[in-house]
Amino acid sequence: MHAETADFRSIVEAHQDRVLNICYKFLHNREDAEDTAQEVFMEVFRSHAQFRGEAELSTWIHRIAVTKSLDLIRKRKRKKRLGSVKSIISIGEGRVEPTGPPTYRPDTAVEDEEYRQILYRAIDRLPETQKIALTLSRIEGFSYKETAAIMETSLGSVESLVFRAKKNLRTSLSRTFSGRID
Amino acid sequence: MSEEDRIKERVEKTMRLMETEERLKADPWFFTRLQARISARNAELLSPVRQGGRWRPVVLAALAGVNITIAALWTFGNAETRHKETAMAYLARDYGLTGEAGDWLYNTIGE
Repeated sequence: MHAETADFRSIVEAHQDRVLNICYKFLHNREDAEDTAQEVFMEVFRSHAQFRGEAELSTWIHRIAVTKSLDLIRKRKRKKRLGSVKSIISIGEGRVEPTGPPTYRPDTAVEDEEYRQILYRAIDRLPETQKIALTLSRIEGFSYKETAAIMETSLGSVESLVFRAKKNLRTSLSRTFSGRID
Repeated sequence: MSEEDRIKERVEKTMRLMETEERLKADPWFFTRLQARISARNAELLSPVRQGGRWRPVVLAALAGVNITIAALWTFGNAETRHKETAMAYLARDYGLTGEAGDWLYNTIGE
């Protein structure tokens, strides 16, 4: 396959929106999502020969999107940890993220945005498999069957992971709203 | 409404936000940018610096070979000198050539 071929172009055009949205749902940032989506298709271009056709092409591409997004999250966390160490060394220079309970604001859009940020942080604290299952099925709208195929696991596992993810999320949000942060 | 109910309401409201997530659409230049990135990556892979990297094992093996050869020549060369010095000493002793005569023999034959 060549980068200029119609084959590759048609694959990219058929999957670019879905891949972009998968990355966005994990990364919550458009620029990072676009960059990661490009990385996904570069990987597709590079390793299409390894695709054995055991899964559907779309499942394979979506799996790469999940992996690449999680890689970036891990990289960010490492950077953040390093930043924390640096801020401890040079006290006062580190950026402090808001962690307290949200204050009431009359503007609904602002309030929604504030709650959304709290939701993202709570999702980020979930165990990785729960985060993947919840993000793909509840947020990105994949069926449990499709989610199971992307995660290379059983339907039952996905159901259980989503159930536990929602339970953990509710507990985490309750703690946040009552002022008790994890 | 109790504090507990208020918290529950907020939790459910936040949970519902999962279903109202914004959906993105790739911009029209997505494929063009992707092609540019692939070309840049390919160019980087074919760059002389990268190509040089491919020959690195061969260069290292050649350097190792040269080093081994030099070390071997140096060792055996020294051994030869040592043998020559020992032979001279035996010869001088056998012929009773010590002192200046011995030095003369060493300087004449040993060179």
